[in-house]
Amino acid sequence: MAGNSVGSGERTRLRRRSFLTHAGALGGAGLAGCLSFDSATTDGPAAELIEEGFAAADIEPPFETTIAITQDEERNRFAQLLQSELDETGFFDVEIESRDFGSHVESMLAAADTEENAIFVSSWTGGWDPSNYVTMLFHSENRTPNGLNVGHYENETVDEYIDAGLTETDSDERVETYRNLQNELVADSPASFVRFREATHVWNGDVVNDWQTYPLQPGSYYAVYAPWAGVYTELEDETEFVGDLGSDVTNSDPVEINGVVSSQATALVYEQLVGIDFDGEVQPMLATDWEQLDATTYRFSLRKGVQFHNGEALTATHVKRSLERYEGTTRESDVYDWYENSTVIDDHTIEISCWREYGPFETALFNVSIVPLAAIDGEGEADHDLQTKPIGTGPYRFVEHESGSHWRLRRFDDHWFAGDETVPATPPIETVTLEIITEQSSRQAALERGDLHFSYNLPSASLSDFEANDDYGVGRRVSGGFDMILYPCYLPPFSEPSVRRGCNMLVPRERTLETVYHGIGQVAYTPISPLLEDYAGESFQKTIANEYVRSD
Amino acid sequence: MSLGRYVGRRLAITVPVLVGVTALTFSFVHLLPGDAVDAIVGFRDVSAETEAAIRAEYHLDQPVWDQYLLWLRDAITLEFGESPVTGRDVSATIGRRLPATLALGGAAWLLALAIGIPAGIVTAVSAGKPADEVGRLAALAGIATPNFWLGLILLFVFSVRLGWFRVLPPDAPLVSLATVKFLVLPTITLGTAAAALVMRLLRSSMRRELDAPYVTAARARGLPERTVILKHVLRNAFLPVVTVAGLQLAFLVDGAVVVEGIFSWPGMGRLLVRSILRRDYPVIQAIVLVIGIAIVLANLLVDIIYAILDPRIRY
Repeated sequence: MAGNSVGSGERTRLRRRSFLTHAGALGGAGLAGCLSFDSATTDGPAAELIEEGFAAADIEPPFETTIAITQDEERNRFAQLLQSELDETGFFDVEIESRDFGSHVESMLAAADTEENAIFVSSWTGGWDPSNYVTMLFHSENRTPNGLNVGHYENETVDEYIDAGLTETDSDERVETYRNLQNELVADSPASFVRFREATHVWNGDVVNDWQTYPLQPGSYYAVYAPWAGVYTELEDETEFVGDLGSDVTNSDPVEINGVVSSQATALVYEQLVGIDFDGEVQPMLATDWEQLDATTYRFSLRKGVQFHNGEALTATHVKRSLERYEGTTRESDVYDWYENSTVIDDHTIEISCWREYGPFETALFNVSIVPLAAIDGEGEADHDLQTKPIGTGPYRFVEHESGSHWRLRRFDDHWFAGDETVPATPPIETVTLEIITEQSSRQAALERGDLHFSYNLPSASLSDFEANDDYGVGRRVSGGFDMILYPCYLPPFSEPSVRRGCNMLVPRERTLETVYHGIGQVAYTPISPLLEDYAGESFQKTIANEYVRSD
Repeated sequence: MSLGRYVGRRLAITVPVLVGVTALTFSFVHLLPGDAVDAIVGFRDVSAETEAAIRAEYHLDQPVWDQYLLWLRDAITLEFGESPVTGRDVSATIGRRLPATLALGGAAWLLALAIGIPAGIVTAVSAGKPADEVGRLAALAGIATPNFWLGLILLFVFSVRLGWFRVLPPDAPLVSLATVKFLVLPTITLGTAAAALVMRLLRSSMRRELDAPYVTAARARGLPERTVILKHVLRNAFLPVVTVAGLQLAFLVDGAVVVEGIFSWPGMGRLLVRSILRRDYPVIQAIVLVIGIAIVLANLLVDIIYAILDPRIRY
């Protein structure tokens, strides 16, 4: 991504792209066609498939079941649309039950055990690697409570593809594997993929000169200053940038962070060996160079002259200790899913070995923040407790966290970046204040009054107003999140693939996108986000949809 | 019994009450579906050893009853430990939030009394006149208006449209002009319903007293109406108001969840909601204890004021 002028052009392109997706899916029939398309399937192939499945499972319609959702207005409206589609077939008699988030997740984890008769509406967020989108949800080893395969779905072919995708390091082979995998998954429909989410960034155009939208939420604030990605932001007559966080930061230690907000808040504080930029390309960060020595060993040259916020100078030992620090922590699988050991060659060279060939190696490294030795050795000491006081090598250092109020960072003057033609050596923004705001309407009010310069988390209904208003900039990009329906594969009639496939055809995707989410997002047919264009680009989505989901 | 001994006895009773309240909360929270460990690890995949280690660290491997006793033992020395979710000291977390809650709750309470009491007197003495009608209508509206709605409307009109107040709390100490100014809208939002309640109660209570024979007697003795109302009637009409005002004080301290959300105020209400959602047991327990203490103290205060207002009341 070149320079800082891409924002608006990119926006137009994205909007056009999502429009094209709609037009394509509607077959040029326009909005009215959308409605008839959604319900035209009732007596068509969907019903035939469901009937076939009911006969095979020996179940008399109507089958009573529940759509389980979290307490959320949008989810509720989606559930109502789905309910009416399912009820209309005459095969189902559906109720809606909503629970608070914790209870919803718990009931999903326990569902197969208790044979709960429910279809779960849920969402999932993947990242830059395709394995993020499928492994936890559909591998048979990840049946609850081991993972999040809620419906206890089992398919050997799917397992093989997932395993192959994880250990395959050739990128063409990986693309092939994940396309086959998605084909198999949609054909078998353990879940229906409904909508890909969008990152929606809104900024005050009077203060923020331009802003680039990082598609994944943890990186929302990379746009402030990410020299490794060739991106920075300038303010008009201000040195303090005020953004928001959707909830409080709970824990800022990389090995214990368990919420996306904490990752967001620390994104400018910690750095990793490599980064993945706004276009999904791997870029050097703390490593300047690396090569693969054999199937499982990589050699990294580290950047020289890198300083931590506490004054330590980065060495290979920091990298080794930072990796090994994950052992026995809540996030150990981030590292020990592949990490075998590492050898310090000299101060600025390290070899990292994996215990298996690992396809997502570089994206995995982007997850591992390098921390100072004082924090590792002095663990528990107030000065070096990363839980409350993050210390890294990033362009901003932590200043204060007022619980429930705000999170503040200040420019780190000794950051390693020396400047180039696209990004200046010194970040123009001196102070980054992130206000903790839990109410969506308050967030909007704060942005409108000017208390906030930026928000990533506004209600989708109000986005079109901001888009129409020249005083604000709006950046929209498909993100890694998707909404889905998980079927209880352990329970007849949902144990019959034909029933699930029939239901999958009935899911009112277009109508949900338009009426529930005001056109924010993209219709989804497969699990992997079109953000990873090679794996799930538009034409692939369309092929899958035509093959398995759409009946006209 | 003297007032002093009465207060002492009441304080002694407080202890079993608080033990009961916290024991109940403890069991209710553990009855919620959901495992604290799942919340701690953020529903990640962790090895069995790691999970066991977390369980042992926070005593989650022991029976609920033992967990409660362990908690109680520490709570007596005001030692609330560390939150398994955030890794932070629970006392410090609450210590930071409590002043904010007290400031907002206290301001709303003062507002409720400052509006409710004069309005109650005025409407009572002008019963049937336009002032009474207007006051009663306003009170009805005040009680019927949900505070989330009122808060959003105030925010929209006075902050977004007119730009008079900040939407977000200023980055200033609690006792500062900027913060006091910011608190105007949340205080009105939180205090309106309580003001209406106080007004209606005082009005009806005064109406009753105004018909009493001693009022007629006082007037017959030629006392000025002002003295009759303020010295005689008000004092007697005040008892039910004191009860409600006392309980409102406790309610305002813990009932500000919605208002804190709308105004992004870093009080205990939001902390409580977040802790419940994240199954952060130590924080939930500590907050419940604080609320319990607030209610018990408010009740005690009410009883003491009773005794001062009505010398016949002795315990």
